[in-house]
Amino acid sequence: MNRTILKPQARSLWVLRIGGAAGLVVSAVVHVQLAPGYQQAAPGGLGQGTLFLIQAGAAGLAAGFVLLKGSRAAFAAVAVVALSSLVAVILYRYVHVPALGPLPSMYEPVWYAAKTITAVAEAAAGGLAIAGYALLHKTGSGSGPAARGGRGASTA
Amino acid sequence: MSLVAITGCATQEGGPSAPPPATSSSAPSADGSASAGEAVITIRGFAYDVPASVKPGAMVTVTNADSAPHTLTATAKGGFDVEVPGGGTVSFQAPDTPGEYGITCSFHPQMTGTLVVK
Repeated sequence: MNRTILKPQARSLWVLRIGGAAGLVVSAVVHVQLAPGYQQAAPGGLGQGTLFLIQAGAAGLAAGFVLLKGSRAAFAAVAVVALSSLVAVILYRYVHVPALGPLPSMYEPVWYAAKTITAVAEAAAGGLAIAGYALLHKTGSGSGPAARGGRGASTA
Repeated sequence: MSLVAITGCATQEGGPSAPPPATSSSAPSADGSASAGEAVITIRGFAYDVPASVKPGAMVTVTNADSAPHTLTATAKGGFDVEVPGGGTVSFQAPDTPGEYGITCSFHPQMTGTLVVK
């Protein structure tokens, strides 16, 4: 009886894990594709292309983390990477932020397909990760069997 | 028509006339004035590939090979200013006044070059 109660939650967690990871993978792929051009567009400091590659690396790691573990920490990592990337793309779209230390001026006052796709993917990944974190928090589990969608989990 | 690499930050010489009209299409335009000749500017990798010179009043076709949109904007007031969507092509009329026109992308100011009209 307990298992029938747990199944929908386990399924939900897997959907959130896969959805969050997929959003980050989309964002990472687009950032890798755009990196060479943007390194030339904003070469100051580390360079925008290098920052894109760092973002892609972080997104890939967080995606792998949530797929392998499904813990609260993994969902938190996905949320942090996705939402910080989303904030950055929106900030530099609308605010002319000057160069700050290693960060070049990356103001680009226009939306286009690849940029919109990454923003939507990051928003989705962030939202799904927050939902996953909240679900695990609500059930009182973090990295135990419930987080992995396995048997014998407690619903608290 | 020989193509030259981007020439870096340019100084203004010729006095640009009123902004000429720009037309947008998904393929290179063929509606330019035959007498004035045609020219092609390619944007690739966030850099302009500009012909050595274009004739006054010539139709200039701008092709953007990047996925990001760019503009071809004269750095002096009253010059041309056309937006080229990612993967798109736009045509505009070169200024009637000979001179060297500094160009930049208003989205990506690091992109600069010079359009020589003579």
